[in-house]
Amino acid sequence: MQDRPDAHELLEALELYLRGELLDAVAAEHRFGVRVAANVCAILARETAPLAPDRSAQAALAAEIRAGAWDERLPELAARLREEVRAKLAVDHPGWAD
Amino acid sequence: MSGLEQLRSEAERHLGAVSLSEPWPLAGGASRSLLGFDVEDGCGEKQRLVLLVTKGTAPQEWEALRAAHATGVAVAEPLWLSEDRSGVVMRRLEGEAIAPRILREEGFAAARGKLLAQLAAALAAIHSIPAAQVPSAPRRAGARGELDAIEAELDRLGDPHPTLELGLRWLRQRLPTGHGPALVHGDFRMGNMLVDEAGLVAVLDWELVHVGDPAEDLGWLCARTWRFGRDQLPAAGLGSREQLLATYREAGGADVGLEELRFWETLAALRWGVLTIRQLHEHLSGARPSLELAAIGRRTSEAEWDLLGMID
Repeated sequence: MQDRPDAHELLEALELYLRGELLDAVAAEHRFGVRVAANVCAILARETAPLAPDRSAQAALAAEIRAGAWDERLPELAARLREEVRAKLAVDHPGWAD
Repeated sequence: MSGLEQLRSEAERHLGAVSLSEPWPLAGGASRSLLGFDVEDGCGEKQRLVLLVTKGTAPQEWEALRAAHATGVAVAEPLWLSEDRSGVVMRRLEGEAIAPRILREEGFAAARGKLLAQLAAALAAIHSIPAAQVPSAPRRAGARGELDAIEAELDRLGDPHPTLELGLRWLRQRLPTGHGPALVHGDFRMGNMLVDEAGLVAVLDWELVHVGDPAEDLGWLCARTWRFGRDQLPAAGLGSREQLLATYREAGGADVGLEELRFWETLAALRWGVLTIRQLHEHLSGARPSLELAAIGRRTSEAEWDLLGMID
């Protein structure tokens, strides 16, 4: 499961950039294309919003660790988290975990 | 009085300046901006200056710059603290501050050969400055104080990350005896160094200066994020950890061991992870809507991986 920003939050940020910053900065002949790109981001943001993951298990694990429940088993926990982080990096930054 | 009028009157008082150019932006950020300007003094000499405008940190930066300059640390000479205590005027220096260029480009090859020793010596000199000379700098209780602050920040952000919590527990089990209290730069990394072909020109950006454990600066300098791909050289992408510790010690710094450095380097990964979350939430909260800040939120996983790589 990826961290926030969720896919729809990234798409909303991209739409904001395209419409709010780039649109006025590009030459007139590119403005239509930038508007279409911003609209596509808005479509994908709406489409992916329901896919935002439930992070309650992650929050519960974080609270357990904070409370010291894993203190005697930190290496075991680290091995498990390493696999989870590796999976996140395969999306966020391929190659960082090599 | 307008900002420009204020600046003119201060330049006249401090330098006998008779004329002042229109300031121009050199760099900026959400919490600070840097403006270049020139003045002509009473003798007809042109003086190249910068005005750093901060959000509340100018007094501590002014005190730290003044003390560092007097100690012989390479910094832009600080000239005055603005009357409203929001800005610092310094001499403008030439150089490169974009770390990937310094670490990769052929023109900086000779500089790279000297930089690690120069950085270690600058750190040893900064850490030798009596904290009393920088009364406005926040006082923190060493390693434990840093961990408490990070924990409080994570709670404030309300975006729980098990790996960062694991980092906190692991570090709490290994609190070093520690050194200091000493003056700590707080953001000592290649991106805050002004460098030319001959080496270090100035240590920049004293916004995060505080009093704490000096080994914190050594750990932050070694964080993987600041190596810009030169991972075979853990110390700032310039050399080995052993080299950094030895040259720091030779320059008068404390005797910091590899295990202790590992503690602070792990804390650096944890801190970077929390910073990426903080920046993301500045975007999500609407305080600073920005695609760049949103994208930084997807770099937390890099910091988590580096953190997990430091612990057994």
